Amino acid sequence: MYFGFDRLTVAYGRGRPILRGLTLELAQGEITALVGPNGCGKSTLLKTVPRLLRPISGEVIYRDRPLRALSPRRAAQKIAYLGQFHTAPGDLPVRTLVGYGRSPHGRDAARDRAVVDDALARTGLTALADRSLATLSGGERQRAWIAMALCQQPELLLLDEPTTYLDVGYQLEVLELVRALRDELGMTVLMVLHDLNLAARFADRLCAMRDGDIVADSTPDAVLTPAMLREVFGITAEVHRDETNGCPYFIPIRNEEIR
Amino acid sequence: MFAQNGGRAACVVVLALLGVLSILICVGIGTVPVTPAEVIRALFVDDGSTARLLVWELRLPRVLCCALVGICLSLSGCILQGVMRNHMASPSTIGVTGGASLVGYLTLVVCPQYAALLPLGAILGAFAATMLIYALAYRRGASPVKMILSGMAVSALCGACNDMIKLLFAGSLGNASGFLVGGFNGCVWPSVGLIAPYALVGGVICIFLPTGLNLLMLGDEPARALGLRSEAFRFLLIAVASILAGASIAVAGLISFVGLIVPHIARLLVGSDYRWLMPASACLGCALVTVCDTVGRVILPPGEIPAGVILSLLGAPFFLWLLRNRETGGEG
Repeated sequence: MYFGFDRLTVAYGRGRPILRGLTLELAQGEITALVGPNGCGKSTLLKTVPRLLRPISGEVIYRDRPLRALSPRRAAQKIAYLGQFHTAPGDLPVRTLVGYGRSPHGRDAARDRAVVDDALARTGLTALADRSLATLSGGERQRAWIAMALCQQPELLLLDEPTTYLDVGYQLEVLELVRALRDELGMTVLMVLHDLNLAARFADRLCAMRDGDIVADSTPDAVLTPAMLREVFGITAEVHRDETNGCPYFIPIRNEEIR
Repeated sequence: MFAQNGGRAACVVVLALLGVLSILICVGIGTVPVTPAEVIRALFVDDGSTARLLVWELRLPRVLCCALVGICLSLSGCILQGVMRNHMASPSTIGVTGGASLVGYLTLVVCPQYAALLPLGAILGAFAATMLIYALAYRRGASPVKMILSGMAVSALCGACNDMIKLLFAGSLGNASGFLVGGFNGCVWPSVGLIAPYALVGGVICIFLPTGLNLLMLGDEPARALGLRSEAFRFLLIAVASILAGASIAVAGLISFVGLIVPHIARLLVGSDYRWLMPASACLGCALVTVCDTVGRVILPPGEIPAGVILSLLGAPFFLWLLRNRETGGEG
């Protein structure tokens, strides 16, 4: 197994488990999108990778071995994680924040500079490199954090709702960047997305979660169906095909569940 | 204020010069003034002159104590504001002040014959109080908010005990005004020898902290995702900060505000990047405490105003002004 989760059970304190024996395997070089209702355990799943949460049982597997066999620093050289909420001192220049992504690697000024420049270019921030974070727009700021994760030069990128708070233009921009990372760098991506249409369009594979487990896991065409939308989200919806982008899309009709 | 690295470097260099100059100038100031030329000569040549006696035996140890205390308290505050991710944090927040003074008072009251061990006791007290707060706040990791809250509780408890001791044993405390008020009256070469090892060890450790502190400022989650063992690192930071502040209290008693305002001023000058913030704070703290002590020494001859009083008199209004003009508090 390249990367995956093996019978993972996670709970906060003594409460009901959030993840219940979840097993999922990622394919190398693919974008996998996790979708599901609020509180189904999507973010929790991602947080087990950088050890922000400790599972009660089960393992995160990386290249056939438990990920915890690697030191946090070694793991950070292979896997980058970008959480949903982040803050940094507002006076920090973009270049400095992005450069923090080099910290898991040994110091090498020339190489660090080249990697930071490359990450800034990929995220379209070269012109803003010396601006302070407080002067950036929401989309620019999100790109700066993604650039920081790129500086880790990871094989695997975990993104928790990378498009939250962004308008539709920036949402497309961020997801196109993610796709470029897969195409140009061969990066494997696992991301949580709330927008099902964007997930269906940009992901190679869609995993639907409900109540701490995966209930559907296949191509967007196979997963984004009226039956799944009813089972996972409790809504009646029409699913059509977007011929321009070659992917399915859905139109919600009504909520069937009182949640 | 200085956005570019070149400007920041220049600013740190200027502050470092300010620190050195404040030492050289303050050594010359007093009821008997000594010219800078005489100061330099007295520092290097033992010619038995009055200048040599004044400078070398009386003023230099005191000024060096000021400088070291200023550096230690500033670095301590600087570290703690990073650990707690809270600009209001200072050595008193983590109980250093409360713990050190409680052990100090107990030493003076219970076994006054061991008053010579008071500094060591203050350091131990500072460390013990900090660890107590850490343990109280610890539950699958010690979050900054829990630490600040339990720090306030432990500090209040120590403060109450201190007040009890002051009321009940007023007589035994008569000869310990230096410890009580916070000042450098009576600092001699052994005082320098007392704080110097801690300042040196703490200072050397501080050289290796900025990278990790910068990551910790992003929050626990991003810091851990970048491979930092944030819990262990936070523990190290708190231990270093409590030793630095404990050693200062041991020499100069309870000096407030340095650990709070110096990192603030430094942040206004060079920004939040700890690679610049820590050296800037250390230099600024050195200059500020040295100058304040000298002002207190000469302002009302023949008497003296303790440096702690001068610092609070200047520090409190300045701090209020800072609060009203906060521009660096924004997050991005």
